[in-house]
Amino acid sequence: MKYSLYIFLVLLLVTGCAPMVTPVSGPQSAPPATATPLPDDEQSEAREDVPGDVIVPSSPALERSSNSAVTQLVADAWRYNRAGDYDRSNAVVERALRINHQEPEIYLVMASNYFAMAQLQLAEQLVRQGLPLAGGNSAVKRELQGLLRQIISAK
Amino acid sequence: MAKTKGRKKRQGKRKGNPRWHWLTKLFLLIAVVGLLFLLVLDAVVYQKFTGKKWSLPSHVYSRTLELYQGLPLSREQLRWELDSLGYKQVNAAKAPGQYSVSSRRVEIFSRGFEFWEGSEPAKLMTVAFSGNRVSGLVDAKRVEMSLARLEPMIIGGIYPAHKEDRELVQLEELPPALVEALVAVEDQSFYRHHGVSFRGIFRAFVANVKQGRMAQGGSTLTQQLVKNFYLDQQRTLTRKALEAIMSILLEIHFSKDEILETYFNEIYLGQAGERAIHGFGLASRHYFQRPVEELELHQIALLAGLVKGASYYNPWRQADRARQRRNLVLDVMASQGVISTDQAATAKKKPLGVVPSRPGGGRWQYPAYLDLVKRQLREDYQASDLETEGLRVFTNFDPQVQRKLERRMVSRIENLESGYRIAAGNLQGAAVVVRVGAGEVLAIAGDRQPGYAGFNRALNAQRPMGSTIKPAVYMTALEQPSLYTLSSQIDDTPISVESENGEVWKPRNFERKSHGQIPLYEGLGHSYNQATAKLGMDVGLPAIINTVRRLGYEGRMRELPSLMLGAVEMSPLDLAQLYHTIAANGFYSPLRAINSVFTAENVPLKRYPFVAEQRFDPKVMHLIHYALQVVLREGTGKSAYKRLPKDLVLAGKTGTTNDQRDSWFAGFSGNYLSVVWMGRDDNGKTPLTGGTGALQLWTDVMSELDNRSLVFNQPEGVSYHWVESDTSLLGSKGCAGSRYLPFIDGSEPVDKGRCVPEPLDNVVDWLKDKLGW
Repeated sequence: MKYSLYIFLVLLLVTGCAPMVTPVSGPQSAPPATATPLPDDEQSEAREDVPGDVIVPSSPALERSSNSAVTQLVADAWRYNRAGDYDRSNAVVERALRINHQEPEIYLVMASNYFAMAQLQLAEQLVRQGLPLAGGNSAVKRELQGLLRQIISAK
Repeated sequence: MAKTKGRKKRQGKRKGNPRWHWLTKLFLLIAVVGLLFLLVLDAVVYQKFTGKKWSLPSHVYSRTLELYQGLPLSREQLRWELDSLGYKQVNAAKAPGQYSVSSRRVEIFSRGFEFWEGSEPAKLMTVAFSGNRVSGLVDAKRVEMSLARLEPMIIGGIYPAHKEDRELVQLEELPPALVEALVAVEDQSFYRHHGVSFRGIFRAFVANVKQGRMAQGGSTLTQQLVKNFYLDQQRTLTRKALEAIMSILLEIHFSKDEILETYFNEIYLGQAGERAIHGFGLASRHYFQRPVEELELHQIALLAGLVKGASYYNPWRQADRARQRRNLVLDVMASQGVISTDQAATAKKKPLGVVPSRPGGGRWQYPAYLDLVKRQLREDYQASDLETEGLRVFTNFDPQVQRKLERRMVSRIENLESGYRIAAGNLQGAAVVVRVGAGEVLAIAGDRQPGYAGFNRALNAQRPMGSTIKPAVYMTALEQPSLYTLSSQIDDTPISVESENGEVWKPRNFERKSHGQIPLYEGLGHSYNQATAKLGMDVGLPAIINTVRRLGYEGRMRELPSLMLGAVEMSPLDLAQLYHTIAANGFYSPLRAINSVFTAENVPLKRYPFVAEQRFDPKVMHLIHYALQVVLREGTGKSAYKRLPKDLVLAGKTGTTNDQRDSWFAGFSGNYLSVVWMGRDDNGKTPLTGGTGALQLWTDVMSELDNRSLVFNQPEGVSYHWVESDTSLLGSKGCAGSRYLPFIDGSEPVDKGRCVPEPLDNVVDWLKDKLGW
């Protein structure tokens, strides 16, 4: 039993040393670009070998930074929404859009306004724009999904 | 007999009376005609005064500067913004329109402003800076504020043919000293006469006789207004009589204040290029770049003095003459008791206080952007309304971004001309900067020369778009995940396509070299023409045209094979529209220059809201974003990262047309999209490619902006897999030639390549990890 384990381990090591993979860093590291730099068809200057950069999906949580100005504007926009002043609500929340267009609640406010104004097509488009941004923000995501259901049933 | 006598008497009377009769009739006729004339004149005076007095040009405003913690804005940039708005730097801001500066803070007393969603009152605030960012914002009581706004700046106007410009002011908005100064200098008996001052006429007559020339006028303010408002500039006796009658009629109908207010808005006070500056409201901005209510005594005196002859006393060209006139006004004000002699003496010591003279006589500085504003306004308004209704047009124009763009345009074009030995002045450029997501056009350069109001290439130059069309070809393919993925092998070998008219199209790669089978993402990343043409022929021209349409192009496209490599002519703005749809994850939003429009009376008229329409699947957009990042990381755009931070995620595409006649780059970060074109107006050859020309300016501009990384979230329905680049088979992490690529679920390769580890290999890896080998 003991010998068989040693034989197994040796076998494993022999297999493991086969020239199959290029060493890479730890499991959390981002994947490298192709190893061989490719020629550039349009510019001679850019043909220098730039070290392989990485292209990986970004984390939604990292991209959304809390901004008190956006929070304030979104809160104001909800206030106008509740008061039925949808145009003003949209005007306010567009200021937030300028500051950070990745904030999903902005689209929720706008979609809610257009839904209230019976502009269902536009409301739906805005929900669809907000949903992928909601990522980790489950509360906003749920609200967007709920609004989308309402829009679809109202159509 | 008696009858005969009586008849004779009557005949005698008739014979004697005709003269009397004739005179009576003539008198009556004159009286009636005179009365009718007076009635007509009265109607004219009344109707014009009570109706729409002036044709008011529309004024165009920039965006409003939102101040909040974290805003990328340096102290110097804020100072520039305040100076441009005509704020006065003081030791301590105490009134609207003032600011003070310390080493890391700027204290501002903002002006109030009426925005679409409500009014922003004037307020005192302190902005703190840390480096080139706003680190804090507090109000007068040191309470933290989430955000605050400054009023937008006027960037241009839309004028009628006569180019009369004015900004209406109400009498109560004017500083009392200005009203008093004007009355003191121009018509001291204004509040006592009834339109005409006989004492004034007599005094002027005596003065003129004494001096032997027309040294003094006897016209009252009312007469001056009548002359300017109703009559022409002829100096005849009849016209003077008419002027006097109309002045009396005007005074019968209207109050002194009404007459005075109209005078303040009517009077000619200067010239800015072709624009005639009328009224004190606009004159105040023209000479001092601030609202009339903020003027100081020496400035008030100068404006009041200009009434006598704005050209003769032009403070820029005739500074000494203007100073003498201003001082005379101050003396008159003091002698009339309007101000004290001390105040007059202090004001006399001050400089004229006018802003520096602007080149082109104060022509608007941003003609390229104004062109777009006018183009978009024409979709909703008649030209005559724009020229006469005094609309207030609020735009998304960002003067800070525009400044950076213009500065970089000038230096880069000069640099390229000298570096590539292009004859000086031959190279032209145009660029558009857009806020990603909101679809707002922030800045436009239509010429290499900032402020040049000629041909606007950003809007009107239709140039072949070259390889910048390629994303549309690849998107069309990627929308068919069962047929194409980023790892699909495409053939980069010579191709010949015969068109319907028998012509043979033989596209070649830029470097005249073929690469054989390559993965699809490389075809776009390295802009291989042959591979793209083959892919395009496979997916079909109608499908590609449909993709370009969905991206937002509405112009003409011919179904020719060369379309796949960009044989379709677009302006930089057209291309910005296409790329904005790509940058906004497949959501089309029409690019907007205008934010809202108000009437001359400040009543909200129309808003141009943000709208969006999903035109592409987010999964497809993720794949194309990947490939466009390859362009900048490894492909034809990689020189950008020599000057931009490596950790900034960017995507874009170069474009070069035949014989390098056009150099394009369109690319975006998470918050800015810029499109740059370079070439020659005569469509001549240049030594520039998209990478060596337009990309260089693009990089310049992007390096000046506060970019956020492109958000490259992995959408639902997309998964990443290791794939061998040369076989499109499944690869593995760390395997040479393997690449981690996104796939729409179900389209990923199934077959394993040469270096997919067997289950046993995984165990070995695990053991190696555990044993620390």
